[in-house]
Amino acid sequence: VAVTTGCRPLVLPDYPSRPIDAARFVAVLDEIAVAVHPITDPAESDRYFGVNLLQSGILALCVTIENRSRETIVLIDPADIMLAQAGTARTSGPHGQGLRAAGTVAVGVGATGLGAALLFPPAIVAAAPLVLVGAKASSDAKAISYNAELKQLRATTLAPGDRAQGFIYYGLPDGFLWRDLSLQTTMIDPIARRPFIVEVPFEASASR
Amino acid sequence: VKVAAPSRHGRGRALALLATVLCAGCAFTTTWEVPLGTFALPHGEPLALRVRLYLTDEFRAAEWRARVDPFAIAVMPVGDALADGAKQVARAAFTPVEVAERPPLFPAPDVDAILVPRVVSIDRTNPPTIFGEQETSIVLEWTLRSGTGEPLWVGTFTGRGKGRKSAHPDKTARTQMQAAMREVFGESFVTLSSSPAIRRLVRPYR
Repeated sequence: VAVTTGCRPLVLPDYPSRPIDAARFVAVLDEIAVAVHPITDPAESDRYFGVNLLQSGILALCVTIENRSRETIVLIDPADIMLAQAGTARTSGPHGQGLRAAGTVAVGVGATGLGAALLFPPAIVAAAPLVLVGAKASSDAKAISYNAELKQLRATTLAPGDRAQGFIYYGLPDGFLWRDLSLQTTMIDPIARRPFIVEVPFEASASR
Repeated sequence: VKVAAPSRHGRGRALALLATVLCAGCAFTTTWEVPLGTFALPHGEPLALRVRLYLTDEFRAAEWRARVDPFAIAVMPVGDALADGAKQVARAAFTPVEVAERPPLFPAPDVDAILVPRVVSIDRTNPPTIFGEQETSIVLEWTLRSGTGEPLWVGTFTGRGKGRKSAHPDKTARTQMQAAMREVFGESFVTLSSSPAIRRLVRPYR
C-alpha cells in the first residue's frame, strides 16, 4: 500500500506568468490593464492546485494587473477585489453586494489510517500501511492549502511598468449563476488620492 | 421501535472519532523557540525619511501552531524575532526611525511616514515521512502611510525555508523559519529602500 500510495510529498508547480495581451478577458482603464483567467478546466486545476477546486465549490481566478502609465503608482488590496454576478452586481461603493474573496482554501481528507492506528496502538505495525495512507492524505491536504495560500494575489504597489499576478478564491454559494460575471478591482492612486475601479467582464462555466 | 444496528463501517468511524477526541484531549503542547538573529541586509545609505515603525500587538505575538503528531501540538513563537527583524529592516532603510507599540494618531506632523508590518501567514508543509522535503513560509505585508494617514505604498513579501523534515522536528523548524525570515526581511529591505514611490518622498530632504 505504501508503495502504491507513494510517500513523496505533493509538490505543485508555480503558475506560469500570463501575458496580458494574450488574455481572453481584459479591461484597460487609465492605462491600468487587468486580465482575468478563471480556472474551470479540471486538468488545469489539478495540475496547479492538486485538486478540482470547482468540485470543492471554489472558483479560482488568476488576476494579472499591469501599470502601463508613466506616472501613476497603484496600490492594490486583494480584499477590495469583488466578483459580481447577474442580479448581485455592485450598486455603489467598493463594498457592494458582490462576492468577497475567500482567505483560504481548505480541502477535507479521510484519516482512516491514522484513526486505525489510534484505535489499536499495540497493533501499530500491522496498521503501518494505513498510517502511511492517512499521513499521505493529511500531507497532501496540507500541501494543497499551503500552495493555494502562496499563489494568492497580494497587496502591492505598481510603479510604472510593474505588473502583479496572483489568484483570488471565491467560495461559490448554492445556485451560483454562471452568467454576466465580472471582476471589480478597486485600486488606489495615491498621487491623485482617489480610488478607481476596473471592471473586467468574463465568461466561465462549471465543468465539474 | 426497531433501531438498526450500526454497520461495521459505522462502528469503526465512531471508534475512530472517539479515539481522536480522547487523543485531542491528551495532546500536550511543546514550544520551539526561535532565537533572535541579525539579518545580513545589504549595506547602503538609509533614506532620509522620518519613519515611525508601528509594531502591533498582533505582530509581536505572531506564532506558528500546529498538531505535529497525534499527541503533540507544537508552537513556534516568532513575534519577538519578527519584531526584531522589522526594526533592523526599518533602521537599515530609513533614518531616523522611531519604534512605537501604540496605534498611531493621525495627523502625525513629527514624522514623514508610518510603517506598519503585518503577518499575512506563517505556514509549513507536512511531508508524510521524515525523508520528505519540507517547506516553511512567512508572508509579510508592509504598509507605509503619510503623517495624515493616507496610504503611500504597500508591499507583500514571501520568505521560504526548505529542508528535509528529519527526525528532529524542532531543529528543522527553527532552521527553516530562520531561513524564511532572512529571505522575507532581505526582500523587504531591498524594495523599501529602492521603491520609486518611497524615494519620491525623500526628494525634498536631499
